[in-house]
Amino acid sequence: MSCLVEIQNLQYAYPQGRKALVDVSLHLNHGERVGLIGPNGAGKTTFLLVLAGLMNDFQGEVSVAGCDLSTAAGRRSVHRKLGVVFQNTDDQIVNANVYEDVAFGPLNLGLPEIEVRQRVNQALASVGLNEDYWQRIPFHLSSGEKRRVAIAGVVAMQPQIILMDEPTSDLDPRGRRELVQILSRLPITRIVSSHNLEFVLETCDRVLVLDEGRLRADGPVRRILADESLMLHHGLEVPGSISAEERRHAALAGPIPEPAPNHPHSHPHSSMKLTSL
Amino acid sequence: MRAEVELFANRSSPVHDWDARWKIAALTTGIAVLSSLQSPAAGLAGVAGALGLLWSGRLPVPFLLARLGVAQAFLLPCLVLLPLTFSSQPFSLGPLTLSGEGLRVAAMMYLRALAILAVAMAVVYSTPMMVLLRALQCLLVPKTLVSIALLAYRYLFTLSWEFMRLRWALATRGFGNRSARAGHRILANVVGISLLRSFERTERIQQAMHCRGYTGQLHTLHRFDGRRSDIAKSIACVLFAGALLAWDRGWIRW
Repeated sequence: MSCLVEIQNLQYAYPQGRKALVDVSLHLNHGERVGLIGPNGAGKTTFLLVLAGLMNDFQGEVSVAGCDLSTAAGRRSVHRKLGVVFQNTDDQIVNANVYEDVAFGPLNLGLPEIEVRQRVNQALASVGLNEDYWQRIPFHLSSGEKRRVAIAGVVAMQPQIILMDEPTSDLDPRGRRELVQILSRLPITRIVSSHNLEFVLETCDRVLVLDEGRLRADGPVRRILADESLMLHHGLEVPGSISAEERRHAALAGPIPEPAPNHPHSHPHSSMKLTSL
Repeated sequence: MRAEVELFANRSSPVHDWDARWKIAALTTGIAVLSSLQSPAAGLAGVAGALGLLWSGRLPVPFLLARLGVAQAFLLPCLVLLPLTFSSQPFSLGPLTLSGEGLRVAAMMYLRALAILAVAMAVVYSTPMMVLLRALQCLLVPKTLVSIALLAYRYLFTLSWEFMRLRWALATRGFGNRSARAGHRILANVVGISLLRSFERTERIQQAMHCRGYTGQLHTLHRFDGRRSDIAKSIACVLFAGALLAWDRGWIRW
């Protein structure tokens, strides 16, 4: 399986000097479904913004789908290979009807109209928005429907990887279930940042724990989320659907070591994940 | 939230069906002529023509009257104040001394503004915003200006949404529209916070647009197809504007 995202010693500090990301190193392969968890202010959104090519003043090496994000050219070209679903879907909506809004990205890629329409039709179908929705005003849709429009807008660009920032933040349980179903149908590499650990458990295979800007754990989702001491230590909780037996197993397996900053391959859970895929 | 200017943009009427590029080019010429009119008679004819154009757009009359009504709040004070502030050609009206020149200037300003507003409304309310901006791009308006217009348009919604949220927050904490000094200070703070918040949100909107490949060049699925009827409407509009200008300048006489 080939490497899609390669990060070495990523560091980012806000203009006020506070460090948002400290020595983050990791590899991500094609087809991986990765959850990004951590308490508020852990640096999750900043991490996603760096990967999206929206931050230019970071230190370290970041390569996404062959684009070197330390260069302006790399940051420009990464948008052809990477899609972002923002936390607030209203921020992502530009056009006055659903169809035109989903077409916004493919049109920016300079594709011929026939292909744009084909992609938009496919993307809308993949998120379950039928023709009744096509001419509707996105701002009039429910949160769940707007989330679907935002995902369709990204899927229509056929990116190699999708980043999602708190995709369940404004969804009711039904909307969340629908989102899980939609994501299960999308065979795209993705990183999902979320506080909803049940959602992460359902939609991801691997999980990264960020706290105070540092990568604290990286490994299979059930193994990490079952580790009660790790979760509590980083202001998180073990999801209710993790059985008591799994918790006991995790406790017996001992503490998960922090990933070594300079050697992402050397991390036992990371390599365990990569080999299991 | 709804893009109010686009509420009736997808209807069908002679103005709606007019190719946006031709429409903008012709009506911009019209607006240029209207803004240069000097005589009240030509001004009145200009207003009549502009309202006729607006009427042919088949937009709901109450909707239009409400928007024109808002404009009166800005125009009517000038109509009242200018005759009082000019000094030439004075005449008395009860206890007041008014200026004939001031009255003429105020009337012309009012007529020109009303006519221009009506034409602008006909353009904006009959064209989806993205089509309008794309048409501007086709008319060689610099893409930076088009980008600014697009972001400004998006910013308006963000701003109003943020302001509304803050108003709700104030209302739920018992703040009424008090006229006290403290009330004004809180309102000023709210306006400031709204601007700051919406600025941050606009940055996120811009980031989202960049992530979707936006580089400043606007693309839409709308295809412009200039037909003979579009050209005919544009020529008619420009001829009317030309005739108005000639009448105003006294180049032709009825």
